[in-house]
Amino acid sequence: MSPNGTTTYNGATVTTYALDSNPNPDLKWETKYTFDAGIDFSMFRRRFSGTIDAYMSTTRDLLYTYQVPVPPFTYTSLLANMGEMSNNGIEIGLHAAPIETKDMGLTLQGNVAFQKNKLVSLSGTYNGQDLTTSKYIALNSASCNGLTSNTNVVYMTEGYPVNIFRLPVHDGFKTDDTGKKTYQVKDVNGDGGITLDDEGDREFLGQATPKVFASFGGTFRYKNWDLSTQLNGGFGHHIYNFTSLRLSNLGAFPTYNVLKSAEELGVYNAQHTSYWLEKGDYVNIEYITLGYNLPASKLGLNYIKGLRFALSCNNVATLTGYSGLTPILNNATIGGGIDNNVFPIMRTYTAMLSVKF
Amino acid sequence: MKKFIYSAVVLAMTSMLFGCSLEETPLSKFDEGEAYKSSTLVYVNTVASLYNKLNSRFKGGDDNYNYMSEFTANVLFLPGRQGDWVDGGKHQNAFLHRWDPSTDYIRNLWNNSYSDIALCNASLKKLEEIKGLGSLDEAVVNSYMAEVRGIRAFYYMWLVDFFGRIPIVTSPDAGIGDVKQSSRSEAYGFVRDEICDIIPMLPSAKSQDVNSEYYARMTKAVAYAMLARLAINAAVFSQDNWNQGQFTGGIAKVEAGVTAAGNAQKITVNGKTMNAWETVVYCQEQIKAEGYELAASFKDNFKTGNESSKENIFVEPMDDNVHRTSDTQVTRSLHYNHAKTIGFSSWNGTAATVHALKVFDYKENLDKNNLSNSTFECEDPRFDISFFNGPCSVNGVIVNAGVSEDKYPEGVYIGYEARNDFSTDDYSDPWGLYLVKWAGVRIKKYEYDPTTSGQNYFNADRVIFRYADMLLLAAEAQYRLGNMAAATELVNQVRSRVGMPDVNGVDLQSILDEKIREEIWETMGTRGDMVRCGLYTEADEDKYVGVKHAIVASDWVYDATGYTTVFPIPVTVLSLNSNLTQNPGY
Repeated sequence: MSPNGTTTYNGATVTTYALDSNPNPDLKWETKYTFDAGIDFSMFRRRFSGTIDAYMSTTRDLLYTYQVPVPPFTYTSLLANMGEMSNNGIEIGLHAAPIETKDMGLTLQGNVAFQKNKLVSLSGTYNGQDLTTSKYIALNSASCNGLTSNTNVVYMTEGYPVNIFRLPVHDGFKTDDTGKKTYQVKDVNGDGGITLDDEGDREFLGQATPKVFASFGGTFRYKNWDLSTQLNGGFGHHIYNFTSLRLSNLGAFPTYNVLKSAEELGVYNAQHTSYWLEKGDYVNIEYITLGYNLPASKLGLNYIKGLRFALSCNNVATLTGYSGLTPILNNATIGGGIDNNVFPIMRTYTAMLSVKF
Repeated sequence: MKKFIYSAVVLAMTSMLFGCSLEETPLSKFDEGEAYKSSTLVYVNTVASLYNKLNSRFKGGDDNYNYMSEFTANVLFLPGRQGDWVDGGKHQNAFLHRWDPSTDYIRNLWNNSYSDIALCNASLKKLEEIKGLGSLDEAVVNSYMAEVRGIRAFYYMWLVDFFGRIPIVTSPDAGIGDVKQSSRSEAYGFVRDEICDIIPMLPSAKSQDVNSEYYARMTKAVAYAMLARLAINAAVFSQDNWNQGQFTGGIAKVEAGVTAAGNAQKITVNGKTMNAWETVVYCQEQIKAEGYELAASFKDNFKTGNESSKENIFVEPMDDNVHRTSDTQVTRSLHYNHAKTIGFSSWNGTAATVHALKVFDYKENLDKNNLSNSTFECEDPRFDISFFNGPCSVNGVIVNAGVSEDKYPEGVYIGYEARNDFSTDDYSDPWGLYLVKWAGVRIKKYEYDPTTSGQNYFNADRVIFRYADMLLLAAEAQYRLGNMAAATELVNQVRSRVGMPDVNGVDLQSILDEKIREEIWETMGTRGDMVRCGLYTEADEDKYVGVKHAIVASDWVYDATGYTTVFPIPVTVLSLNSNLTQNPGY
């Protein structure tokens, strides 16, 4: 129970209490079963080594907040453990040092992780009552001025990965007599009308979480110079470019600002459609560092053992086909994948001088 | 090639089980057992907590009784003001009766109402247990139970009104399978019997009086007011068919049928059996016998400290201290600059419809070249009390709320230019641009209290039931019973209190108009009045086929069957409980 207000009783102010959520006496922890198999190897005198891991994991008694009917429940949600989710994947890591001499060295390392996530089931029985979830469960929505009817974008549903886009399908634009365009969406279920409910005219259009994460790094050394870099990437996922949707509504102009491209597009409303869903593949160059080591012997100073100068650039560039400001967003978290005013990570330049005593 | 080492290793099989105690004792919550330890706590946590829920359901945003009842009727709307208040056409669509089973405010209203009903059922079960223990005086527990049933009946009355075919749930132990839809007449019968049953058990006390033990609680008078409200609509609520034109087409078409349906109803209260219209008259007389009367001044019912009113029957308590409920109605209405003159902020939304202004016979003579030369007049003193009109004012004193850079520098509300949508206008004309933000007279009625700690907190209780409303309900009932003289006399009581001349006779239209003048934006009954008189589905000055609407909203469409007189059952409710079916027409 928790406070829900105050009242007066015999002239005194008293706090009133009321039940604040549906009780569930059968609540317990989730159970996770994991199977993991791996190979570690190295060859050519450890110049080439690697690791391969495969895992299968199943979570049972998955805790989930169920939508329950009111009545008979007091509130619309009930926390219960009934679901099952699987996570399977392979991770490969490789390391190589093809050149290794006194004056010159090159090391490279890379790893790649393939992952497959699936919500196996969510429905179950609570207290003898079948609790079925809505077939399509919204995880995240996006709304803006001019857009309120069913703003859901990212869903989860049984048999699919968590974080899947389910959107009305773009079907060109409708132009009225004054030349103003509005979005048109497909009648996916073929019932002759357009409904934007979760169950309505929407389609699964790809997952928000990358199917593959990869990274690659390398260091090249020549005499006193060294150059190193690190690249990261995510592949096989989509991003919902909500920022552009929101800023392309000429109907809200001039009260709300629009993008320069909005005029060319000429759209006078806001509506969720697959028009704004884009491929999210990207490679980001995390840093490039160039260093120079001055050996102590050349300095001839006893109290300084070494000097290092380095120039470094962080977040050098992002290679992507995505048209928004940045494809790097919270797409690995539940409900992620929507670009809603995401600000790109800043590029920074650093000059370093380190002195070893 | 050189030698190489090959090593293959790891095979791991793990199966893990985690476990630990799930006991938690958060400081923000406490154990249920603690909540009923003393007799004070029994009242506070089984009864008073329900009133706090109830009071949060009347007004505020859009998922409440006021919004569903008044903003879908013909007196108030939230115009789309260019980019503001368009919100996907939501408010404009509500006014134009464009909703569907997934409309959010309809779903929220259903869930909130049934959530509170579930709490009522839990309280009743708890009170029954406490009665069994014998630790509290049985008569006291019985009166608490009557109160809780009264609160529950109040919710069910709204649900019968809004949704027609609703499930009646009276036990906290009901499972999903026990939730079955009643027909509208069965649901109405349940509410009727509950109210009639509890009336003898409720105290004769003053609910509006802050010094009374029963302040803002169910009393006999409150239950009679509920019953009057139910009985006046009994001719509608008792019909299982409502989409065959019974309630469409205007007063002349539906009047006789509704009057006959009311005559056919039998309501038994205090051992006396009457038809629906006689019940309304009886309730008004009983409320009078409980000591209620018209206040000498109309305004006193809405002033700061209105707890002394002898006219207010049931109120939503509101003060800056104990009952600190926020009410955003005025905030949603006033122009930004108007609220800024006293240091508050507002959202420039709600305005009165042109229909409402005509009912008041409001006269507006505009001088566009110099707005300060314009005149704004209304003979009916209730208009100035109910609305901010013409130049912005605070408690009767005109304030400077203009925008200096505008071509029209004065802050003046332009009443007759109000319409449902401005978002598709051409803004090259400065007058048009001015109207977007300044069209429509704005909500006032309750005394504006600049001393409160925040704009949404007031020191005037919000009226739920008022004696003047009971007189006008009785006037309609007398008219339906054929007692013209009695009906006219009741309307004239209300008129003469504000100094308006007597009328020589009344009909349904004139009674409805009087209700608008007397009760605009205060009650939550306009929708019901319109349905009962066949007007809810009809076009008027503000809504008609081809009405201006935002590109994201829809046109008004004439509903000849009357299916829109009842809202759809929310889609989420239907998908989670397959026992329930959708209302006809949706």
